[in-house]
Amino acid sequence: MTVISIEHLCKSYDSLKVLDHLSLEFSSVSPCCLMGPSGTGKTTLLRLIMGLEHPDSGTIRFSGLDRSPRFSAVFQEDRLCESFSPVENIRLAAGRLSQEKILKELSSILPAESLNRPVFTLSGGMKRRTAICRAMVSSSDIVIMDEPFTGLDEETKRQTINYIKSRLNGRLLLLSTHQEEDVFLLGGNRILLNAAP
Amino acid sequence: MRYPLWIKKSLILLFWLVLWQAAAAAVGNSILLVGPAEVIAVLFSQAVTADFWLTIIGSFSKISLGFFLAFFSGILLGSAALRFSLAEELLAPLISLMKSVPVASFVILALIWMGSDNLCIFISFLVVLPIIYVNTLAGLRSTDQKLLEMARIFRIPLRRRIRYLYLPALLPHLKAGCRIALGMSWKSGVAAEVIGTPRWSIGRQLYLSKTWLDTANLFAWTLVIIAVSTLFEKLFLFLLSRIPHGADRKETPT
Repeated sequence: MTVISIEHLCKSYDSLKVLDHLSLEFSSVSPCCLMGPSGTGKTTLLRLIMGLEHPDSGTIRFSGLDRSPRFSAVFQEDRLCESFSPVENIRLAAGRLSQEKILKELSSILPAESLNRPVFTLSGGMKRRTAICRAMVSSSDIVIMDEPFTGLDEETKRQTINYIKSRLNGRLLLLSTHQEEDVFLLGGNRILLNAAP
Repeated sequence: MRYPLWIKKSLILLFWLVLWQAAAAAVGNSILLVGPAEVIAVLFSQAVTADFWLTIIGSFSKISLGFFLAFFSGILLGSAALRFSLAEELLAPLISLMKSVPVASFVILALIWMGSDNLCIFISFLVVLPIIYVNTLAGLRSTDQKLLEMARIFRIPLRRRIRYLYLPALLPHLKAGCRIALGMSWKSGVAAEVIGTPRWSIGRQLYLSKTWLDTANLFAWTLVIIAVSTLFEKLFLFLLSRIPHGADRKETPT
């Protein structure tokens, strides 16, 4: 079981305090859903966990792994190469996967005719699902998702959540969302972040 | 009535050639101004001699060597400056110096240091290096930082990052820099040859034209410089555009 233990984590941007002595624990037992109003530090916390930013103080520890953790992520933006197709974007990030495997995975959540079109011709929802597929097929110990269902309609969101659950394979899933429904559909733990005082 | 573009361009060229020929006839002094017919005649008479081609090869090999040395050094130094801020800070005064000191000052200094034979290699290098360095740094800095973060999280190997993330950002800047640098390398290289007058160099021919007041020869060799530098520029930019990179839809990650 993978566990992320956070103790007394502090992070400020100039004079703006975003995280103030935050202590939390996330485990791979069930998906962890960070909730809270905008500006409470959800994205900052996810970036700190991935090592994209450094905390002012406090610790983040990973246990249950025999090496430093490997992440895959869905960022707040899609972060896809716009001139590449969904297949090419996934091949770039998950180079060891075969073409057949990538096509099979993408076909689970995207229409077949969109798989080889440049990403800039796809709708926002299709781009989002490509980014989600990339995170799920890449080999990792921890999957981080920052508001992954933005731009998806209800039906597509349900399909995508089912896809995520089927591809989790015991990995720790930590995501941020504004929708209570997402927590329910994922069968996850709701973790509320409050604004730093 | 609309004419094809090539006819229009040919007519414009013809207009200026006729005007040039008319001006030369009006002046009536071949030291002050020679017409295009005489220049072409001199060019053809030179082109059948081995010395003509040896002179072109001599200048081309040295000036292009200076260019290539600066091209690769500029990319290496620009990449190092992106990675290590200390390298950028260390190089900043040197690059500023290269950009602001007049070429003539460098030429005279280099004549004292190394003599005339390899002068144009050094001068071409000095003129091209800051252009390539600055454009490499700007190009690499324009790489999408969000995609680089994504690449870091997904542990995309450096080779792929270079090919699919850095190169698409770098190449437009590098091409723009090369367009300027290629012309500059020829202008400065030939200027250095005129001062140093090494054997088998176009600059020496220009210098001799001045000595003998041979304007037709001067014009003929100037045409050669324009032709050779344009060919070199077109060929090099074509090769640069053939470098496989991520922005090209024919190039997919492998």
